[in-house]
Amino acid sequence: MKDKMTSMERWRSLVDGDPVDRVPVFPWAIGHAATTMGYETLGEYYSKPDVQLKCQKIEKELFGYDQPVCLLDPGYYGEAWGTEIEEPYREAMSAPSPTVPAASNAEELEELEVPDPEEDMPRFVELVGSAIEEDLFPIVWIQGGWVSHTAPQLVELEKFMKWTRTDPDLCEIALDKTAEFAIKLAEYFADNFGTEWIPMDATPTDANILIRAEVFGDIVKPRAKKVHEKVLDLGVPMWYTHYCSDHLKNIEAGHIEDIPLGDPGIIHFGPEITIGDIKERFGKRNIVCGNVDPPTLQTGSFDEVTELCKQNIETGRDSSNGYMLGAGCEFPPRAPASNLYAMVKAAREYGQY
Amino acid sequence: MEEEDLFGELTDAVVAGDKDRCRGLAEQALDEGLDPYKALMEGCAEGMNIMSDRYDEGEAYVPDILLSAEALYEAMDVLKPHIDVEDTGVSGKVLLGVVEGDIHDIGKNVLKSIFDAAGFDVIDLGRDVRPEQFQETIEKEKPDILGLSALMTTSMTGMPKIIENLQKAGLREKVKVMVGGAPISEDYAEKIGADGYAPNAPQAKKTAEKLLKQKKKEA
Repeated sequence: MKDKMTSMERWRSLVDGDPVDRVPVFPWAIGHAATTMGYETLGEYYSKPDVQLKCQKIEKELFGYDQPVCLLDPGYYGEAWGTEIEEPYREAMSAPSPTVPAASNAEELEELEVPDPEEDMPRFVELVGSAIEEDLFPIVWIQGGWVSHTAPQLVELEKFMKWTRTDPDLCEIALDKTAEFAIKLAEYFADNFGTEWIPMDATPTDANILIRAEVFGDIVKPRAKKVHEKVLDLGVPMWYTHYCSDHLKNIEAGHIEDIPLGDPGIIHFGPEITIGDIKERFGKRNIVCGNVDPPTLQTGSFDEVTELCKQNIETGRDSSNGYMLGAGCEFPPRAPASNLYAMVKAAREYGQY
Repeated sequence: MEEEDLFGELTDAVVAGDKDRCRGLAEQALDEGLDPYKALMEGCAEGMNIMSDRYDEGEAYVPDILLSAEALYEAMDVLKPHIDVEDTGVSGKVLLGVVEGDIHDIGKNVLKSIFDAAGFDVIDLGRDVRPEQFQETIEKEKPDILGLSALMTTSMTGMPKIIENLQKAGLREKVKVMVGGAPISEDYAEKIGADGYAPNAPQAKKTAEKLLKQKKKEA
């Protein structure tokens, strides 16, 4: 079935609360754009801003999905702090990887100074500036205030996990630093490039598979809330937050609703919670995104992916503030291209309004 | 202190994740001439069993398990040099590692502590492990079980390659392979030719015990 809107028209209409012709597709394809373009590793893609931007623009055009370019710091939000990062030049790697954290003890942590975006993140500044200048209305990862943006970017994850019980004050120091960093970064982009971009964060290590909802509520939520409020105050349209992995206890405790995403924002859970449940609990205040099972995208057939997409679309399509078909996490960088196409085809066939 | 009381205190210290107390109690056990292997298994390991069950039931979390493991290892450091290998009745040798490209090793580390407490001889290759490293270690160490962990959909695709390599090298029949990690399912384990699967660390212990029984039967 032929689309009546362009991808950008559909994306902007969804964000503006206007009608769309069909269910938009936001596969959260990031690294996959590099493999589509023939790169054997993701090294060039993640380390060179022009490559990241070019690959994403071409893949989006090729497959016809609606996700705008989705931009990540080539230093993976750790390099600016002094953390050593391995760029993904090995075939088995799917993203940059922090190797030696900036802080290995309390003293080093306390001494860390919040980076300056212009001086310490020149590649990310170039990347975001170029995308906004080209009027691509990008999604920009703004990381800070959550465990997921603090460990392993500043402190090794296992150490941070132990600190949640033995030295929670150190966790709070680390979280405060990354929260300040996220706000500073967003302010820099708003001051220099305007507010035609959407901040995004993803939260795998804040999930209840690792930490108690009480810990999340006590030490993470206040920082995440502050970051979201401050960034929204800059005038960006909304937040896009991906609650990665199992956040069911954080949901039950009511923590998720307390972190503002905008009016509406975009909320995206993994397949641990159904689209029906997300729609019911969060759909009145948010655009809902999700949530095709990533292992199926990686190893399933075209028909299996199509069927999952169909089920998701049928459940999500009437969500109050809109719904977009997405993968339950990043679309796996080395998943078959046909499974990416299956998502777009399913939206065209089953997602017409 | 009576043996039973001291072992009970060791159990409590592991559950509390109190490493200083664990070390002190382990030293006390030696001073009082108690059997170090019994202290380890009836004291410390029992504490890890309790934590493993609590984790499985959603009552304990990763930070709790990590601290308990730290306390367990503190006592092991004291007790192990005094344990006669013949007394241990080690039930099997397990090789663990997170597949190449994946640095998420907390699940594997939790698993290692549970396996250590269960009396397995554990060889831990760490994270981001190349397929050749697994193969070389299997040739050298001859483990009964290879446990592969992956947390990402990209790294999970490294698992079938490792199994294929073992087949090509004629090692596949010599080792049971079990897999786990967030994106892994029982179906996937079966599809790639693994012998066992576990959704979490406590379940993995049961899977390993089952595989060891199978391997002994087949021998």
